[in-house]
Amino acid sequence: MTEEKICPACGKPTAGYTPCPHCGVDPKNRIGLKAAAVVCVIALVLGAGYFAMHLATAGPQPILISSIDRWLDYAYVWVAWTVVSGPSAGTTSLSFDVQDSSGQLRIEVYDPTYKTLIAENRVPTVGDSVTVFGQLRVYLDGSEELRVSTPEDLLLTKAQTVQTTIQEIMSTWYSTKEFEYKRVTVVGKITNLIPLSSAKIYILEDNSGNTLELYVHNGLMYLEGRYLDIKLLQVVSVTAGVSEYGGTPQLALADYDDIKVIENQLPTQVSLDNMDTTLVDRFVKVSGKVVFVEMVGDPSSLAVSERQIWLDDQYTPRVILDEGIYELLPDNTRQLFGRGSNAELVGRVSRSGTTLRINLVGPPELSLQSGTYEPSLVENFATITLGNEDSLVKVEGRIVPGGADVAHVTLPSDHEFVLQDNFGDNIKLWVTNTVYERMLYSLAVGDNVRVVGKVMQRGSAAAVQPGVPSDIEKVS
Amino acid sequence: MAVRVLKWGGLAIAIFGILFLYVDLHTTRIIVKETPTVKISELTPMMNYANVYITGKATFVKFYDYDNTLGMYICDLDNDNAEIYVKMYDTETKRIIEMEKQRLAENSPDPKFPAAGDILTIRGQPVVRGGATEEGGFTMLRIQYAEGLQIVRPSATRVTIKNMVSNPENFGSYQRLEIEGKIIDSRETSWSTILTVYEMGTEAETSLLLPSVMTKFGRTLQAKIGDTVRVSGALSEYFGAPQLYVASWDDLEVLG
Repeated sequence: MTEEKICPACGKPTAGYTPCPHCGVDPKNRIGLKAAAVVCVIALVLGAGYFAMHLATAGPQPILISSIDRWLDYAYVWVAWTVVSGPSAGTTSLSFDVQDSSGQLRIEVYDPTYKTLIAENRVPTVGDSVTVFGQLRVYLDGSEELRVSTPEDLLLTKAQTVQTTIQEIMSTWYSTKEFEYKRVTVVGKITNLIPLSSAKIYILEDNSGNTLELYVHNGLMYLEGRYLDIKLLQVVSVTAGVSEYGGTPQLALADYDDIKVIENQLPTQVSLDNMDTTLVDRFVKVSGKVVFVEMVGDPSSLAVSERQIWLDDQYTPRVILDEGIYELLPDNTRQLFGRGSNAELVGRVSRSGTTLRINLVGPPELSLQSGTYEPSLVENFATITLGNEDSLVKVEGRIVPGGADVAHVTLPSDHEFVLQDNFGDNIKLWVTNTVYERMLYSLAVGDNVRVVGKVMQRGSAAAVQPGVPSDIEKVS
Repeated sequence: MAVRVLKWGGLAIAIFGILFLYVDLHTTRIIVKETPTVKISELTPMMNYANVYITGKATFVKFYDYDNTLGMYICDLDNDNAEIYVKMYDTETKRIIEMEKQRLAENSPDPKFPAAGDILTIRGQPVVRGGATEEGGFTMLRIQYAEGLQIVRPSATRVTIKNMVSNPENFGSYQRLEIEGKIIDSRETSWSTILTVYEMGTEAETSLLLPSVMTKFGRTLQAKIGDTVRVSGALSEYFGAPQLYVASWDDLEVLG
């Protein structure tokens, strides 16, 4: 009789057969439980150890910008890139652009993290290297950004500063781009200001006439808690990153203290009567009485694009004031801005054909004292001819029928009226929509008006064109 | 007998219990407590996913066109620094757009779509990670239903543009102001139309910001360059320049 044995694997009787007729296990080939436990423990220790070592030593694993797609929306990733623009600051956030070999990405840092970065002086600037951990947002329109949650998620390596010149930056820009995204210190003179809605671009110029733009984001005032105070013709040393906009280099300022004033240069003081072509491109300080101001309108709106100022008389060079610069003038200066005021200003002389002009560039240097000026009245309109073109006149008369307005598709019309003097002679009155739409009253046939304006050509005849709304006075 | 008592007794207790909860909900509030009202500055991690009322002033309102959601910042009425991000998802956002459209059609004075400067009472679900003002902390408030958003739009104070742009410090942030002037420029941005308004006499100018979401309220901008308008909006600033945020079409009246 066969000896009764039990299979250690399935627990059924084997009747002495090997392997077990029920489960096929050969007990001789089984690993003992203790051995299995030891193997498992070893595997566990090795696995956990490897995982721990990986965590401890791997560090950030940056991804390429080009690998970001919609599937990575809301994903947390590490990135390690060079800062190429910014910082652009608001009241609750700051942002900057970074670039790797495959593209650019915007980094957003919100309150309160951005306040910590400011307090710790760790705001990234152009040229710095950053390693950032954050959450990606990939929008349906294809735009992308990375949001940083905590200050520890931004590791910053500040760029070394290179001393160079405007000429060197410009001469290498279109070949080797040696200074692109480098932090540099350059010396230059402030010779212009271009105000934008969110920034101001100062023009730095060296002694050879080479220029370089200095981009100052308006949001920096939130970081600094003050306004930037630099003046025209100051020679300054600027430390900033070399960024790029529209194919040209641009210094991106990150801190007002990175501008140091070295010298205050003075303009050449000249009399308006002594202006000549030798002064072209030079900065001059002139003074005179404002006898006429002409608002030049933007062709696509009723906004003013520039103001042309006549000083003393029609023979002196016109002063050209861009509206963006006009808006930078303090309130009290703007209130005095008009005919009769005594002006002292600094501008740059330029030439258009044979005509000299003085460009009142920014940061504006203009002081005004109140005063009055009225040109003498021309009683007989027949004496105003095309030979008087571009001269200043004062006329008084009654509006009679015959004017032809010029209609525009999306804007109010420019207006043409016909004025008749006491002798029955007529002259056209040309009022642009920029001026007319700012007048407190409208004009109609039968109105008696007094007008100060410049003589211009309208069709084949002379016309009088007022410069600002207050040049037209409704007498009755 | 005992089973019958148990059966009818159990039924009676169940009915009584439900009736009690119903009565409690509508009167005594012994068990069914009122939804608590909290301040933004009082939010703690223990309130994570709770159901609360928060009343605050909207300082930023944006409709996100790409996913039809509404995002806002509101702050405590007595503390501008206690701020929370508020989110309303697409279904309910579409509903309040429709409600606003209907309101304008009916000339009802009660706004349904929020704007900067509004006083909002929100019943919603806060998400709190860390403290509201703690570094690394994160707070957000979700509005789950359109009915959970109550809007009070303060009446606007009439001012001159000159006064507004020369002395913005004389007004509260996001205070609603009313101005009158002539439109001299209009331009589009990615999420708004910006009108420049000129004040006759003072020669002062300011910008009006009309969020693009207004075009979903059943009307389009009728005012054009050269028109004189009377406009209300919340005072805000763009890099130091004062501007008005327009809330809805009834904020903009074309005078001629």
